Amino acid sequence: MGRSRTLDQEFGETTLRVLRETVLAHATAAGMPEGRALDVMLAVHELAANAVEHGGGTGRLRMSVTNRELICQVSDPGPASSGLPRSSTLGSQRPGAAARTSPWPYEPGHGLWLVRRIADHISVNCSPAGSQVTVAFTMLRSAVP
Amino acid sequence: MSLLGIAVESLQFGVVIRLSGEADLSTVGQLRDALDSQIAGGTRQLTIDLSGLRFADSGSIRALTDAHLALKARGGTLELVHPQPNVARILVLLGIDQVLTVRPQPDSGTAGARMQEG
Repeated sequence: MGRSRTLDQEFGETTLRVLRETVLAHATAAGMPEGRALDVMLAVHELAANAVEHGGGTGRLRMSVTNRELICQVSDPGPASSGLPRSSTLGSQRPGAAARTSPWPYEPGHGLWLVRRIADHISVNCSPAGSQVTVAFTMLRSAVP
Repeated sequence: MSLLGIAVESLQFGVVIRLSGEADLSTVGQLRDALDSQIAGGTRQLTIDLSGLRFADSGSIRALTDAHLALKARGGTLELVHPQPNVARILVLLGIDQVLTVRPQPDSGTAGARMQEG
């Protein structure tokens, strides 16, 4: 009740552009003002780029809209299941290798840091099975009775 | 085909790199290569014309600030000019305008009139 799934889309490095266009169109259709719809697009892009770069190359966006907010959840399967050459052999040789399956970087100027600046709410959940970041943007309805 | 166009022009005062299209994770390698080759080739005054760029993500902006730091260390400068509103907002959010020179789009009225005349 009150929440409708509007988008469920997988993405990879070469489909980030399509993802941006789709998110912008859906955010605008959901009633986000133009500037805020661009923020939603930017936030989703940064999270998706993180998923591609740090989470094993692919990810999935689920976007839903309630009366009050637009919610975007970006998840990745984690490096362990990616099949990419982040091998356990390499990992066992390097004490710092655990960092490769650690949360996305959070430093000034990086994606997650930028997302925190523009989203109204953000929650981050990281486990060996992957990362899941949920961001919410408040819907500014002008004609609430 | 790449999302990002990179055109390099050598002028008396230095080199202008004109970016067009969209700059994201899929193009950041190209962008870094273009910047690195200019610095390695001896360019010290580098202007990045952003007027044709519709989108830039944080990773692409970081490539530009890294080039800025590399040039600064060699006594050079990097300047960003004419970002579109969408890219200008990202520069402000990231605080880039505090770190290096960002020259805004020319006054839209004047530019619009000039374009109509041309």
